[in-house]
Amino acid sequence: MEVNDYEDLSIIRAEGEIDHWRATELEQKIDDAIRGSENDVIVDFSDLTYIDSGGISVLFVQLKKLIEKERRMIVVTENKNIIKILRLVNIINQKNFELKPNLEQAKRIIN
Amino acid sequence: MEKEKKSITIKSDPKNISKARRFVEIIAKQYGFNDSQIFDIKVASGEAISNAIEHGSPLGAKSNITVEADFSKNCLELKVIDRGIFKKQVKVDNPDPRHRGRGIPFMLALMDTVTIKEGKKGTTVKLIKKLK
Repeated sequence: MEVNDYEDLSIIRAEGEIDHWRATELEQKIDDAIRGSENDVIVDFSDLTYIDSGGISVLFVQLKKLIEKERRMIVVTENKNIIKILRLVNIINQKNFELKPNLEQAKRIIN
Repeated sequence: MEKEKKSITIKSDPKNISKARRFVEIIAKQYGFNDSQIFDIKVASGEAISNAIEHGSPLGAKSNITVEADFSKNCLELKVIDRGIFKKQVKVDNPDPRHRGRGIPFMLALMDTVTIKEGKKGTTVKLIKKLK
């Protein structure tokens, strides 16, 4: 996992599999991005293949923090399985949450 | 395909969980489930195994967790067997990552049948997915 502060945006990239045991790592990275700038946070799941309830819980907790700061969480993925999980927990319809198929489109809505 | 049973036993350590998920993935693929179904099966069993590690391991990392796979009547049946008492999670919408509350709704949503059997010796979570 890596954090890039790219063009004033905080972008977190998470690859591979996020389960209960890697969820803390994701939480920390998003925390850093929230604290490190005043911007919306892009969570790039382009290369993520697995997420469980541990990872989803982190997204909910961090989205709540962003809502309080009137900032958005933009999740990037085209993976049908990951999108299925995001829909299942209905995070997709939450306030200040956006889903984009690629990084370019995610950046576009911020600019 | 003939009825047959396969199983894997892991020590109750988070680092072994991906190994158990891989076992489940290989089995599901062998029986002809598609990618979307395999993903469902992996997530559901991953949740059950995580619960077993967290709550069903009285000896900590020395405890054993067994995942059994059985295919019959066009259904894949997975059993996640541990040696602890299943921890009931109350609030399914609790967003705190320290709660495993979302695990059970995930299993229910992604599998056709989920049963949790608590016994004196441990807990068995049975997950069934029909091959469609």
